[in-house]
Amino acid sequence: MTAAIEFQGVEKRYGTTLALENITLEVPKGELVVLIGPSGCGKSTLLRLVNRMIEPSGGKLLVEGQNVLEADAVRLRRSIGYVIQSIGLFPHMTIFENVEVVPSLLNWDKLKKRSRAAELLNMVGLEPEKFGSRYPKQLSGGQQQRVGIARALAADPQILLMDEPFGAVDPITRERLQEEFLRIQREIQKTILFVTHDIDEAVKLADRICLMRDGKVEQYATPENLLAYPSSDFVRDFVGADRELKRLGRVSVASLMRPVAKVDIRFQTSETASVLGTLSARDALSRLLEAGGELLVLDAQGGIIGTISLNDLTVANMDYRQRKP
Amino acid sequence: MKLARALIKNALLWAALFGLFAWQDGWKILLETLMGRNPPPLFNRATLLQLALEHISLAGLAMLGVLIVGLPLAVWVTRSTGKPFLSLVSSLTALGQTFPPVAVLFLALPIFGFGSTSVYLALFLYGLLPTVSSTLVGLSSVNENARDAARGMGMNEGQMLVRLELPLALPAVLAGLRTSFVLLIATAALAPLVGAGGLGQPIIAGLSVNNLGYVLEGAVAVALLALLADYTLRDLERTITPWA
Ligand SMILES: Nc1ncnc2c1ncn2[C@@H]1O[C@H](COP(=O)(O)OP(=O)(O)OP(=O)(O)O)[C@@H](O)[C@H]1O
Ligand SMILES: [Mg+2]
Repeated sequence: MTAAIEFQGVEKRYGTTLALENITLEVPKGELVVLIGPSGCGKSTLLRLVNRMIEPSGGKLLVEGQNVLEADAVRLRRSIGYVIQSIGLFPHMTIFENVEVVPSLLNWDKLKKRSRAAELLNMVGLEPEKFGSRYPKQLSGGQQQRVGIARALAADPQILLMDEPFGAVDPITRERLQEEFLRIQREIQKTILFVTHDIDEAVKLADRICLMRDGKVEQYATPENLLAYPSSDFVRDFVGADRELKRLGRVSVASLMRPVAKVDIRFQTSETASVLGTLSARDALSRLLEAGGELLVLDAQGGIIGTISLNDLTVANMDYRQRKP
Repeated sequence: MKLARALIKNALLWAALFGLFAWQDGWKILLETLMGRNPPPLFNRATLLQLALEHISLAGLAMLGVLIVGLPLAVWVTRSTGKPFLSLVSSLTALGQTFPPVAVLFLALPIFGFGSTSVYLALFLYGLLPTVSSTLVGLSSVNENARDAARGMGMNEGQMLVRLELPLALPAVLAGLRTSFVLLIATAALAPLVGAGGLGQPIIAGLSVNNLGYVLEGAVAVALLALLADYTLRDLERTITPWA
């Protein structure tokens, strides 16, 4: 069993409106799956089925192999991290107390709670000594989002549900949060269902994207495949005219470069004439547009591992390279 | 810490106020300066301290009744089991307050007879509304997102109430208590009409024998009690809701 969450023909009705229709979807353990689609397509509904905030009207939903309708709702929710757009921090509790909510419900002892909260605040980039005793009102929007994430991770849940967690912050903060969140996820490897409106955010974060429309799954694929092989005009329109550029954002320079045999001598290379192999091809494109011609590709130690030019950044090359294992 | 300091400060203020009430000679001089010596302006059937103590215990006990009945009532009608009674309770408490307390006093007379029981009943009914209605407002104003987050993190109904709703409703609840209590202190001045004591005695006696000194003595003392009660409860509101 590798699927952490499994929707089997799930349906959700509100009166006569069908909010979700025959959803069949597997979320593999340890992967970050992004739910995206136009407003009202059922993303939040799908998310909230998982911790039984709402119940399906038909079909079956398994969380870690167990039918949610057979699970104790309160216990289930304590075992799943939950982050909502408006964050929902409790204004009358300090930051420490907010992070300790679920551990408190689970009756952890005081010291264990506090040290866990401090550890998590550090992880999301907030010094516990400085922020722990403040009230939510005394934090910026971005800082509150971080606390929301720390709070969801407090009892070390294996599954995390996040409904537009970065929705309420400015674009720059948002990008910083995304990067830090990716770093954290690489470390903790949780199964994450993540709702967003923003295709760039989806492409940046997702292991898989589930694009929804009118309560149905339109396409479920890796970001690379969604961008390369949109299954319908709707998907093509949704990902935007610049989908090839977005694809470049998902691949590294190293995967598109022309490799050269490793040379022993370390060149003294100038800034503009080289890029790191780990850089995204999209950023390399920007450098190529600036510098023209060809760039040297370096490894982390500064050794030359290849060259890259505009000709390497073509769709054909991406297709060719992606097909190779 | 902060709360302890506020409690000590307010306890001292109350001690000072009752010390002032106990200073019979001071009041005599003051009233004689203002009103003249004839008729003697200081109420002579009881000391001011006695009257004030009677008064505050009338209002205080009625307030206790308001708390014991009003708070659970307001919480209950916001739970799923009591929801059907929400509008009934709101209208009944509103009715309790639109009824003039004097009328309640006299309506209670045939049932409870002369004495403080009738006063307690009238004060209780009169004080219920501010407490109940502001508790209802406080509970219903709890942010929907915070509620959603609490439920999503696995709080059950009781935990939501104790850990989230009541603490967040606290400022509104305290404001309601304050309004009720100040109202009761003022209204308790009617108590002597049905034979109970308190600071209403010099006021009502003064009106019937046309002695303005008596009226002034009672009225100033009632005002001082009400002002200090208001101040103390405001102070507590501030210190126990540091997040607001
Ligand atoms: N409690 C409810 N009662 C009735 N209809 C509802 C309810 N909750 C959601 N719906 C409907 O179900 C559909 C899906 O709603 P949902 O909140 O899942 O959309 P969403 O994809 O999250 O949208 P958004 O991006 O705007 O948050 C919508 O048409 C909505 O009107
Ligand atoms: Mg939504």
